Amino acid sequence: MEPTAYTDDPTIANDAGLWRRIPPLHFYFDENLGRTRPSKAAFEDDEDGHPMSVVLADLVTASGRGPAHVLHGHEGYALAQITAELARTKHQGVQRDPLPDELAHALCFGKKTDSVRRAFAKSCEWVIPPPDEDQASPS
Amino acid sequence: MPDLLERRSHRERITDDDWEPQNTSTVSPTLLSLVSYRPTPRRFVLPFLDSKLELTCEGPMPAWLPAIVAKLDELATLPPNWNSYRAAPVKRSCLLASVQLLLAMMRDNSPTPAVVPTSRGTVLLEWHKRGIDLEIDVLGPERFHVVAEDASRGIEWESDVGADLTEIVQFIELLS
Repeated sequence: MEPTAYTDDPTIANDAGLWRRIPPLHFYFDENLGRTRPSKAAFEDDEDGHPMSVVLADLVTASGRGPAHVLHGHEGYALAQITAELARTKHQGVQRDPLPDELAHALCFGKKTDSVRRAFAKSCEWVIPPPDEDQASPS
Repeated sequence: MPDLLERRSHRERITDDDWEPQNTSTVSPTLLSLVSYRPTPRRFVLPFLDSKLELTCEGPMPAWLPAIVAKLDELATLPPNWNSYRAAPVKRSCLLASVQLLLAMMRDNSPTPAVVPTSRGTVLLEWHKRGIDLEIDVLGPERFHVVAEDASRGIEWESDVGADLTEIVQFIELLS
């Protein structure tokens, strides 16, 4: 299959927030950082090689919705934010990819090396933190 | 147990004629030593992957083991798309390899890792403590991708690892 070409969208500002859902199995307490954070496993491309899905925060809010709407139907999930700037400094691009049920959908494309995924996991911020800190304890 | 009055009545029956000084030693007539003492191996059974995991340990079961086995067993039940981003189910081979790896490298007092499924169906074992980050992606039997950082010692290590666990064990020792 021909690899799909993706293009970094310059209309997406560096300070744009990219939101990603974090399932309960993907966050834990990091004793070194003294806080709960996602695992690097939360920032992978799809298993079939499709780039990592995110939603553009400004488009979600512009449509009159809040972050909780992104987690609707995903009980126990948290919502994390990286910036487009962080993605770009890690050799990723951001492309709009509106879906019928989520017009704010976008793709963060580029090779997700261990270093890239760890940078995302350690630098991201919680938009909606994990609902229950007990779930974030090791194993 | 006899009450006090009953015991007193027993004591009164003992006389000096009953005293046998040659039998008062506190030392066993046969020499005993703990140097070559081997505790009796104990067998433990834990439910795992629709079957059971049987282990033989010299002493108590390691504290970390039951929780880890239960967690890995839980991961086996994850359906496709469990992360809402089209994740694959966790591979049985990775779950089994995770248990084998942990039994091979962990000590009784080793800290418990976070057990994290990946969207590729592998298992990540992660430790983040004492200034050390150790992450082992269990790709299959004796196939591990390891990333370790120890900022205080200026160590950064990333490698594919097979059967030789020497370097991983060294990091586990630092975490313990």
